[in-house]
Amino acid sequence: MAFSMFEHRIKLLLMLFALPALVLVGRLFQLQVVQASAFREETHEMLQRPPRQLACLRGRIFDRAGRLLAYDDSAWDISVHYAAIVNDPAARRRMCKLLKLPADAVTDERIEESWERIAQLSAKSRDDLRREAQRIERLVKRIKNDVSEKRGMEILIEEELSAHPVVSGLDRSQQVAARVALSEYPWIDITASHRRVYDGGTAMNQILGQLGRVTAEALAADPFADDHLAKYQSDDFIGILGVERLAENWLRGRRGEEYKNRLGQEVKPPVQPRDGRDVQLTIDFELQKAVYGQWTLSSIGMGGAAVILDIPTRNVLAMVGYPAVDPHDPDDVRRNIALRDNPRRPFLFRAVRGNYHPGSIVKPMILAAGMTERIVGPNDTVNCIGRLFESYGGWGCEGIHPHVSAVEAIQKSCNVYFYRLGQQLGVEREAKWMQMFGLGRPSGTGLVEDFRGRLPMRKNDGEARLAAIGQGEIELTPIQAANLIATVADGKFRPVTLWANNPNPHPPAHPLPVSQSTWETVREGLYRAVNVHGGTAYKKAGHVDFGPYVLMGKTGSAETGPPEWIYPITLPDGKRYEVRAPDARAVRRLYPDAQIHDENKRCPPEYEQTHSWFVGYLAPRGRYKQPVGPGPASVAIAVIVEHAGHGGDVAAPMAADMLRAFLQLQNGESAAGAAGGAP
Amino acid sequence: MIGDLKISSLKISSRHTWGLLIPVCVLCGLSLFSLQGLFSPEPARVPAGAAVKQLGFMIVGLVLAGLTIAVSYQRLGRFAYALFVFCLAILLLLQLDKRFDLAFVPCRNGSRRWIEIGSIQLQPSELMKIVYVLALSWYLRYRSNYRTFAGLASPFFLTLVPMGLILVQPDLGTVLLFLPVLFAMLFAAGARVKHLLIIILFGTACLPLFWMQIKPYQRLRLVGMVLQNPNIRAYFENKPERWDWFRPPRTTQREWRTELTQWSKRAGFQLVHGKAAIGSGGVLGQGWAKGPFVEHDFLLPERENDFIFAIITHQWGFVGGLLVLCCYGVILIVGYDVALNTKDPFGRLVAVGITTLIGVQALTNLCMTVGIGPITGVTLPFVSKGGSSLVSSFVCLGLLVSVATDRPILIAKTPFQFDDADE
Repeated sequence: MAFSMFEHRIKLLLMLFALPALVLVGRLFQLQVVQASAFREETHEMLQRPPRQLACLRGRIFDRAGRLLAYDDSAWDISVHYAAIVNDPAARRRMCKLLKLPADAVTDERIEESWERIAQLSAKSRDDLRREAQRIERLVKRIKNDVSEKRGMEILIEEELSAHPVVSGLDRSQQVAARVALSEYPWIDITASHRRVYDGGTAMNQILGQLGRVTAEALAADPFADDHLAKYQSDDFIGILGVERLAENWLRGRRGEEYKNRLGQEVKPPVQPRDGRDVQLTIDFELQKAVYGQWTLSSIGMGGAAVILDIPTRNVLAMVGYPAVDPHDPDDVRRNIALRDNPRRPFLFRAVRGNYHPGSIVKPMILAAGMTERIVGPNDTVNCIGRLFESYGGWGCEGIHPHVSAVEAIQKSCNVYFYRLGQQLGVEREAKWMQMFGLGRPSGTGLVEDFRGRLPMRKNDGEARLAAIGQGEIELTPIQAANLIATVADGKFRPVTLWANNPNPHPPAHPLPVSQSTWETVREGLYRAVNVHGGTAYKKAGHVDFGPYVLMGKTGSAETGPPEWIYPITLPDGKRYEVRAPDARAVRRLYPDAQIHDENKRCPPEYEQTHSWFVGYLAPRGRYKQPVGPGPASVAIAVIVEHAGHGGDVAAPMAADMLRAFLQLQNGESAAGAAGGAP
Repeated sequence: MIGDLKISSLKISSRHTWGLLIPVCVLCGLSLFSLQGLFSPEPARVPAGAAVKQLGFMIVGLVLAGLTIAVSYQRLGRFAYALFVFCLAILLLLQLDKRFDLAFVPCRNGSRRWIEIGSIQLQPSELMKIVYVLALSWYLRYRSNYRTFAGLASPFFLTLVPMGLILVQPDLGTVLLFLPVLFAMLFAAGARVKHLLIIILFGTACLPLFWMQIKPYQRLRLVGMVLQNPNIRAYFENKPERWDWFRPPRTTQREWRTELTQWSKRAGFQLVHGKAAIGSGGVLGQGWAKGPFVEHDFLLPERENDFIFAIITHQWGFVGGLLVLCCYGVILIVGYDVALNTKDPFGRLVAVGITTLIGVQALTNLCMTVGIGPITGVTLPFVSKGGSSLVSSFVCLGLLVSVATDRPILIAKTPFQFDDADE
């Protein structure tokens, strides 16, 4: 029987189903027979968990004798998930999914409650935490933007899915308490981490420096940006000051990684974390403490610095600035921050950053320059009548020195001799010689704080004369001053070294083009300045016994303008006041309607005196004219005490005490005895 | 011949009944075993709550099927229009919830598809599918005007109204089932192929409009089929401006490109993982309750309802997949045979409609799971976990058995026979 229309159509309908069914069978065959092994592999990969990174330790910092000054200690952080830091419903949903939480477990009230609890547990206020949260949010958004710009589309970055530390440095007992108190908030983790411990005290903190949070700029400039284990992460701490910053790429380690699947089985052997490398400094910690202790004993002046160098290697044995603040002691910081305009500038790293007029301490260098340039000979004399010109009172000298020769000019620090010498040298040659002695360029520590000082530029006679006595435009730092006298001591120049195991050491010292006889003349002057009657340092430092050594040196009394003046003013209501300000314009800003008596301004008493300088070194007794060779006591010293007066009165005896302390340490006596008290 | 079943005084034809019951039992068995394997900590010993619940729904469904058979499809047909209006009213009620927050209409992820009374959840669109078939069959049974182009207007109107109400729930998957059922029923009833083709062409021409209206995630689902080929994905990644052609309005370029590059982790996640589940089953499968996609619940979302076929083939391999296909094939063949064997026009149309409904739903789900069709969120009849879907499938089964067994003696022309056979 022929098929009816209906039957026909039903069969057609079945055919219409049969076609896709065949395709389905074919597809199943393709997936389950042809590609089965490929899919099994894909399934295996789906079971892999993303690798977990393992933390590494930052390198330690030692002094030259191997004493530990800075290291990482175990600590714990309170970390809050990103979704609880920002106010974003999408992020919150993601977090709920990640942590397998029901959506109603994470409300605004609960999150706020958890923040309050964190504030209670840590010493921070709710506002501090809020600021920290905002900082994290800004940084993560900035990273997200940068990454998305580069890729041309919006990427969900890892930082948006992870927890970020908001409180760091909990110790063992604190972390237990925190764990218990915060256990009901699944978006808060207590994560193991490290904290940096500094054992150097106030004496070392400026040299050791500080860590700070990594910034977006540091992330962008990261030299290890391509190594996902070594590169900076958004919650890292990096060195921002001092040696921590100088040796950042040496001290930072490389994280490890473990590869486990979701069943907890190890899939690949893990990459072990590599701790950062240790830094050894040239600093002698005991000496540093002793020198710092000297300072706290005698708080004359407004502050100061002392640097002790080893002459042959130019290693920095001690580098002290005073006063200093311990940034890791919050009370100390608070005390000093409250006096942010503290005229004693406790936050200034004076040894490398304080720039001062050197005063007479440049005279040995100028003399060496003048003799080498054949402007003056060892026996040439000058008649100093107490001033340069007969008819004119300016360009004075501290005393009257009839027929002063080179040696005496150093011994008695005769300005007139050097005015003449400087004028004949001229600013250009002076600047050239200053550069040979290391002025006008960074000292070589490599620290970011290192300041290069300033060379004279104005090419006129006045400047030339001023430069020769260390006034005028010339400025240098205490460490440059120490290197200057060390150069005189052995006749060679080399930049200073602070980081002993620096992979890129300075080239060896090179001798200056100064003859031996010139050096002998200069050194004779230095000897007499300290050890012979009439020498500017003789009275206060000349009788100190250094055993088999003698102290050689040069004093300086640098005149310097005060950082602020006292201005008498009359207010519109007739009352008279005295205002301290750097200049009249600043007074005008403070008191726009007052009448300023500029002509009656006076210098505040604490700034009236000159800076007191002393630079010198120890030489073997009886052979002080020879260049200083390697030896246990081949050290140079530079000391400046701000606004303390004459170099010979204050800086010289302090330097002598410091060198005595050094020798006592050399001979094995305790630092406590040498310093007369703990730093 | 397998023994005859007797329900009261009706004699049930064993051929059709067993032909429908056996594949349904196989499918239900596969479903229960899969649910037991997915949700029980020790499948061989501890009963899984989900499997027990599914069994309960099966029993409910069987009871309702029995009721349908007892009531007989003829009587149901008399109430077809009333039921149709009733269902439309309920669907309207769901939409009213947008204005007046109604207690028994929950809103989940922005969609209103259920009525919740106490702990019982019902999906009105499941009922609508069946009632629609009944109403359309009742409408068409004695007419012949659908053989004209104009006469097609009413059936289409009858179809588009519930489609529209379901579309705005939103529920794209269920909506897509209506049109094939309509076409199949019209085709079986004898509408001219020419007319039907014109409408199909017109519909195809309207697709761009459709494309403009659908949401981005729906766009992605449709394009996802194509994106599963890594070469195509790479092509678009190299020529991102071509990808931008498809960008929906109010979506930024950056978001749209992210959807492309992160496709396998976002929109394409289910598809990629579903294929991996199927493929890793191999020829014989990983074994009951074994295999990573059974043991780990994070690997495949919706593995117990929309993607249950992936889990079945994961456990029982190519063999298991073929078994499922055969079961549906048998249901289709027997279902259409039911239509052929009855002379009642209403019965014929009901059988064609219900069989096509089951077939298209199964086909859509299977194609989606293996990646040759867009992801539409349609469940696999008799197999997917879910009360409403299971019960309505059993009601469909009941209707088919009812048509097969309750055959009135008609002294009339064989219906749907037209002599102007222009195919």
